[in-house]
Amino acid sequence: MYEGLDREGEHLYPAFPYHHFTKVMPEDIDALYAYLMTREPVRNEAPANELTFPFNLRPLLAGWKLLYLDDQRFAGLAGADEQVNRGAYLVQGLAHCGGCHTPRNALQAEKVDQFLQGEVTENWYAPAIAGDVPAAVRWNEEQITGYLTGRWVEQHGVALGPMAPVAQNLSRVTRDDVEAISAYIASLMQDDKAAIEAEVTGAVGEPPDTGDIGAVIYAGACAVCHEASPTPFAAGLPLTFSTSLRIPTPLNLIQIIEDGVKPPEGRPGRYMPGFAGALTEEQLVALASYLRERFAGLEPWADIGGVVAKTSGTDSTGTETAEVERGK
Amino acid sequence: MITLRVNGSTLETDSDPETPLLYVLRNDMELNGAKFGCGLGQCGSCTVLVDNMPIFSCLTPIAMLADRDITTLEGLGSIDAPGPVQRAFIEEQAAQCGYCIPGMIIRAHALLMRNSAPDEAAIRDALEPSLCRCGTHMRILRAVRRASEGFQEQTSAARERNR
Repeated sequence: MYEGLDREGEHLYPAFPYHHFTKVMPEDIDALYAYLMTREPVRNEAPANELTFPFNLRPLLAGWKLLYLDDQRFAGLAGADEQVNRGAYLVQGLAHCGGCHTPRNALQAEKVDQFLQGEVTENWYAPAIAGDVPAAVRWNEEQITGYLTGRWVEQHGVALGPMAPVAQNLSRVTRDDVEAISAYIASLMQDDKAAIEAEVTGAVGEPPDTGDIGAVIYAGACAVCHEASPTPFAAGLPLTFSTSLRIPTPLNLIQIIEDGVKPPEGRPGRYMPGFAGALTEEQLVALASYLRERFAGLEPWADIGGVVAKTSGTDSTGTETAEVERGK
Repeated sequence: MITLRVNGSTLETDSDPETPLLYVLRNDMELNGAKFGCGLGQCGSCTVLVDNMPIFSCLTPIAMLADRDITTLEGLGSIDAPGPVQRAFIEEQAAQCGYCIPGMIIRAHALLMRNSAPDEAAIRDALEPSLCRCGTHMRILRAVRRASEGFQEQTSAARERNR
């Protein structure tokens, strides 16, 4: 957990996040060990190392560790209260939010000077959750706690993509700990969105009558749920509040439009149908560009066509659908 | 004017480009196989095929459909000559009130076109967007498995012929 070594003393790849677990206190590691040892063992063969040369050479990881492994336990935040401190301890250690949300360099190490500033992961974009956060209105602690535990949050929506299972797991974590995480994350967010908050109500004016196919698709396919839905279970987020329209890549928007939104198996929640197959690539590009401009007031994404072409044919977990079908 | 290609025939329509395909199918073309259920893409009873992919026709403005192939339940067969999936649904008597069945048949057909021998998980996954409130699920699944056998026989017969 601290050194990234297996039982034989071989280096582990940092896909196993020991560079975060170095922050965790020994008593918590001990507790994890004690719990794991009460479980029934499961027989499993680890798959063979299929990385290409030179990445298949484990001794090289010693160099990576020398450069990037900071073997320091969490030392506490100067000037932070107990709750924020606890949140920082969890976020930096066991929860290792930076694993997805912190940008990485060419050697896949997290850029410490851009802590939680947003990064692409598993074909989704994990948005910045510190500093200038790409939300229409400022998150408050209660909303963050709701989001982190898989609930629908007015003005922000619900955890999707690789964040959905994270939220499902966090819904089983002690409430105090989730609230501590929220307090810490809220403390990292820039506090200049209060002014916008008063203005954004989710209401939008009449669409411009441009004959743009994106506008026609929005009106015919999206508005029925995203503007004044007749039933609460189909009520989509008013798109002025959408974070997916404000991030640097159309990845999340495309994933959501194509695959929709489903609550976790066996749980109640909002449902959005997927539109994969209904929209041509060209129509998807037009729709995404229209939504970004109309609801976020931003220029269309630069390489949106490329992202659409790449994302089409993969499902929400990033697996090549074609490959899955071949396997069947 | 938008030109729609439905079950092989074409229709020129001057309906508003935002009009859902479902309304044109039912009101203008009198193809009543696809049903209006929720109008929100939540129930699946309006499902038709566009370029062989199942879509919710209640949420698909006709502006999206120029030059694309639309297939409705009527395009899969008739009462006298039902298609393989329709026949399997009749043989298994896989309908109670029947409102969701057109969507179920369309989805099953799309699945079997891609994969004529789907496993149980693949069938359930493909039918998931369609809701049935009568609880006919077990018969529906049985019908799809029966249709799958039909599709496989067809495929192997075609292979024999090509040999």
